Amino acid sequence: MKRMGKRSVSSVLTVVLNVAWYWLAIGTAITILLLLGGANVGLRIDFDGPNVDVGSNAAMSIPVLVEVDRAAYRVAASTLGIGDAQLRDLRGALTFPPRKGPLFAVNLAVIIGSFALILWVVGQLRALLRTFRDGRPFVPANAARIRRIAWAVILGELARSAVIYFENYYAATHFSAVGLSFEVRPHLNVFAIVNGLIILVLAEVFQEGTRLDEDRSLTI
Amino acid sequence: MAIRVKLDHLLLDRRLTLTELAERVGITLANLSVLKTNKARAIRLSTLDALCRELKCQPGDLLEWTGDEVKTRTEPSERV
Repeated sequence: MKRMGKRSVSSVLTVVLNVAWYWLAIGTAITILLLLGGANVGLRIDFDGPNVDVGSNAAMSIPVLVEVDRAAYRVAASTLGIGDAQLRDLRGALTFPPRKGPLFAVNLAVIIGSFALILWVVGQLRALLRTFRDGRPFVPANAARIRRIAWAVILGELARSAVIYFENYYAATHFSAVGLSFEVRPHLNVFAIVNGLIILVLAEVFQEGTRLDEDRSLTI
Repeated sequence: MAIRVKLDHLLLDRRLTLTELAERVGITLANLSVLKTNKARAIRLSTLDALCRELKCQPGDLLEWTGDEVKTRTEPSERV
């Protein structure tokens, strides 16, 4: 299957992104309407991303890092002759019934902001893939689109890391559990930052490609 | 760019239209217009060859450099 032009991988991806964009936009609109309508909504923020719960079983969820008290929880494997193993670097989601308040407001802002950012990035990708589908990859606007996507990836990861840190801090200062302690540590995905930088380099390659394509088209 | 393509004069002298020249040279009318209006970034030698063949001229008759004149340097003994 060819990569560009009609009936290519770019065409298929354009359709997929169109569907994703509309699905996200409708989901965001419904979430806002439900909130304004006073529905029971739970805002879940996990390590992998945000989500929304609706209904009587809706729950709030915040990401947590957990240290286990070795005295309270002994882990052993007698068949292997291991008497004292240790659970470390546990991470999970702390769920509880929704409570309107500062945490709800912050999580709501994070979720709406995340959805808006994802919608915007998918919009940039849609515009990019449309030009690939039309067989015109080196239009001047594409370098700018790729650059914007790169910055969205980098800044999005920094924001995600900051949100996770805040949520960990909230859990550590408000919740307690027997035999467990909630840790607060930075959680930056360096690979996401590196990916963003690679995409920035790709933007410069597209810029150069646009210049060369323009030169070629004006060579008679 | 300081290089000008002098197609207008040559077309007038040879009593040719742009369309006729484009057909004879084998490039599109749009591309020949780009050349005539000095919007081109570069010209292929094959295109220049075809134009000179059809217009029966030299490359120097087609292309003119209109940049600033090069100033000559005087020797110290010649300065006034």
